[in-house]
Amino acid sequence: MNIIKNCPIIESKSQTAMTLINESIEYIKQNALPKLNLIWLEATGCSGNIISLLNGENPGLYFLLKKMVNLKYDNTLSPSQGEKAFEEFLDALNTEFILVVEGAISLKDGGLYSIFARYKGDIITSAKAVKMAADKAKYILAVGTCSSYGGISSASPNPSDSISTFDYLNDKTVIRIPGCPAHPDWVTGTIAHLISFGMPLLDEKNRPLMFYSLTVHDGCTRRSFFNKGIFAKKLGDLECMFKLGCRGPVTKTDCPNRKWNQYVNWPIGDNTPCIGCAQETFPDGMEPFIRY
Amino acid sequence: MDKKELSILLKECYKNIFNLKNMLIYTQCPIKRTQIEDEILFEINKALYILEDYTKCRQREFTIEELSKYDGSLGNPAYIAVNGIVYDVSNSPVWGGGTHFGAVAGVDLTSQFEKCHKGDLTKLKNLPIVGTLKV
Ligand code: SF4
Repeated sequence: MNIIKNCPIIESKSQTAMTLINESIEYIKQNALPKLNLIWLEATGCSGNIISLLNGENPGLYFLLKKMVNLKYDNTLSPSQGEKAFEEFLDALNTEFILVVEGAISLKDGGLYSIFARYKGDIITSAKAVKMAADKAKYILAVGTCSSYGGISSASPNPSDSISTFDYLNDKTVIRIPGCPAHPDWVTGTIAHLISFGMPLLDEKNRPLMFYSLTVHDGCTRRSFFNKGIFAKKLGDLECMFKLGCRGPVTKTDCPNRKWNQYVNWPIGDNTPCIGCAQETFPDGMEPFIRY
Repeated sequence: MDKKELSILLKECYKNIFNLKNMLIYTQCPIKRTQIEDEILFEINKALYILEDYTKCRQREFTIEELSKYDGSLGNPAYIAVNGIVYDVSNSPVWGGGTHFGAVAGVDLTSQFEKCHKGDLTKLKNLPIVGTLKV
């Protein structure tokens, strides 16, 4: 039993987001720390990650906002709008905060393809807003595949000249949380870790090891079919979908264990091959998503 | 391949399997265990391929047209050619559905291989060879 207890993978797996959150709440209480501020910026993307976060279960969004962080600014959730919202953003920059950027950074024509705000007649591009916030942020998280690697926003032929936030802020330490969208637990878990223990352990691509250490294939429920060479011939078959173009073997996430939508199911559990949404080359390099 | 080479290759497989088996006895971590089991299966596969190669039934010459039939679609085997050698990628985990980061099986991928892997031949080391490409 001792050996199993010492296995680092199992140990880090059991530290799910909720455990981390509880610890960080305990930590905040004990040290009478003020809650950390959070600025969530939407650049060139689809807002999928914030929607995914709203669907968080363990902890839910309400819990996160009430007990863990002060959400100072978010394009989607901020109550104020227009210049007032931008002023709130500027105020928040003077505090200590964690910056979350979702979406890629569009660079074409000076970034005009993604406008963040209009303020006193000036046009503030997303690229500029991200730079402003990144200069002052305590920690920076690139959430979602677009932000981490360029993803769909920078897919060929890339009409808006988008690059990933990670590349855009190449002089800073940016934690990548890829996924299209990122699982709410990956985001809240990492934020909780930042609050209570500081920087989590990262892999060579700056992804938190606790969520991205194994491939989908490693934990897949259909793995024994793969090992025995029994493959599905069409969608809906219950065997390994490798021959249909499954990207599980090249994609590192903990989907098989964690599952989605309040932990009910995940793509392969629902007879769809993994399309590698958290992979560096998604979507161009992961195509075709299905092959007969 | 002559008899002597065959026996050297097979001996190496036996040795690897033996070592892995020993490792399995002393490993308790379930994840590590499945990894080792996979490696053992892989070694067995390799031994089988070596034997098949030896009997020459898999070695053949492909024209580009013949090769294009093995594109991995509809459960077909997936073969690729690099530097004139034809490899079987049907069961390589990174080649799901006969496709690999935008590349599709059934063609000569020498130039793409040079571009992406900088001619790193170790990537091809574990792929079974099925024949050569006729130019
Ligand atoms: S379905 Fe995909 S992830 Fe699961 S065992 Fe097959 S190839 Fe691996």
